[in-house]
Amino acid sequence: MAQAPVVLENVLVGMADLFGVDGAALMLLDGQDRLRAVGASDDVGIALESAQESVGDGPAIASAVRGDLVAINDLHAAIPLGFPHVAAHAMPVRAVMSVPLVEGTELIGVLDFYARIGREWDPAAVETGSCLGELMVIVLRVLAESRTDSSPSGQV
Amino acid sequence: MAESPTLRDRAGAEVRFTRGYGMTHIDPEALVASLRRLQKNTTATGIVQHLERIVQVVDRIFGYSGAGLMFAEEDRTLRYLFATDERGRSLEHAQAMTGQGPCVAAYAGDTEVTTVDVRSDRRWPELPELLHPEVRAVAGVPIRLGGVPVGTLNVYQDAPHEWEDSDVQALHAYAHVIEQVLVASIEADEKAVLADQLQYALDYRVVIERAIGYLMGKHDLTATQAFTGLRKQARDSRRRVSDLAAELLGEQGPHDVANPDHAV
Repeated sequence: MAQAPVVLENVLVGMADLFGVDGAALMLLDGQDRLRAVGASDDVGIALESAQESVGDGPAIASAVRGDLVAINDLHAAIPLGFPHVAAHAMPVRAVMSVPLVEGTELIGVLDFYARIGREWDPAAVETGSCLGELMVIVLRVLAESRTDSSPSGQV
Repeated sequence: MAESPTLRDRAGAEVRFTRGYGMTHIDPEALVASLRRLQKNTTATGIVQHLERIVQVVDRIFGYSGAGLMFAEEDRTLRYLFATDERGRSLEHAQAMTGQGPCVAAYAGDTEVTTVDVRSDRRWPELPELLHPEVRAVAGVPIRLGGVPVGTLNVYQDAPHEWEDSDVQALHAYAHVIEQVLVASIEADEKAVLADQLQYALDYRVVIERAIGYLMGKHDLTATQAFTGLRKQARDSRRRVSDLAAELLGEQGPHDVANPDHAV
C-alpha cells in the first residue's frame, strides 16, 4: 500500500504530540527476527534507531531483550544508566523511553519516545507510553492487514 | 550530528544518520519486511474491532470516565458505534435519538465541542432525561477522512469538569491517529467496503443492545457485565459479537455467556 509510510509517520508524529515529547521512532523485527530501524517522526529519531541497529545496543535493544519497558533519563549517562556509545551518534537525544510492542504473546518491535532534555519518566508517563505501545500494535496490524501487495519487490 | 564518529553497518558501509526516505522518515523496505512478517503471524480481525480496541486505549491514556466513537451514515445522521461502558452508551444513544448533543454538534460544525456539565447545558435540553446520571462533562472532536468529518471521538467525565486546551489538543491528536487507521483500511478495502463494515456495526448495535438487555434481565447483571461477557465469549469462540447476540436472542446461545469471567 502506497500510503503506509505516510500513515506510519503521521501516527508517530501524532503519538509524540500526544505524549508531549520531542519525537517517536520505531524498530520492528523483520522476517529474520532482526530488529530493524523502520522510521521516526524526524531525523533525530532516525539517527537514534540507526545507531541502535548498527551498534547492536541501546534502550530499544535492551527493551526487546528484556521484553519490558526501558526508561532512560539521560542517554549520555555512563553505563548502566545510559548508553553513551549510542548517544554519540544521536547527540540531541537525552531522555528515551523504549516500549516493547507485543502482539498476543509475541514481540514484534520496540517503540521509542525521546526528548532533547533529560527527564525522569514518572509512573504516569510509563503508563501512557505503554498505552501508546498498544495503540502502535493496533496500527501495525491494520497496516499489515491492509497490505495488498504480495510480491517481494519491497514496494509498500 | 555532523560531528558524530563514523559508524559502519555489518557490510562495512557507512551508516548515514540523517537519511530520509522520499517524502517521509520511514524506510519502506524495512516496513514492508516487518508487515509481511506480522501478516503471516496474525489473523485479520477487521476495522471495527480495531476501532474498539483503539477507543479502549484512549480511555486508559486520558484517564477520563469513558470514551466512545460515533460515525455518520450516508444521510449524515450520527450513530453510535462503540462506547467503553454503559454510561458512555447512554450518551451516544441519547444523542442518536434526539439528534442533539456535544458530539452531534462537533460533527455538524466540524470542530471540537465541550461542555462542563451536559446535564445543565441549555444547548441540549432533551438530553438529560435520556442520559445516565453519571455522564456530566463531555468533549467531542471530529474524525475526518479527506478533510471531511465522518464521525466523532467522545470522552466524558462523571463529574462537572472544565476542559483545558491541552485536553482538547490531545483529543485532536488521538482523533488524528484514528483517521490514519481509517486511511490505512481504505487503502486495502476500498471505501465502500469500509463503509459496509461500519454500517454493519451500526446496524447490529441494535441486536447487541437487545441481547444485553436480555442478559441483564435473565441473570441480574449490569449492562457492563452483560456486554463484557458477550464480547468475551464472541472473542473466545472467534465470532462476531453481533452474530452471538443474534443467536442468543434466538435462544440458541450458550448459557455461560452471562458470566464474564468464564471462558467458554
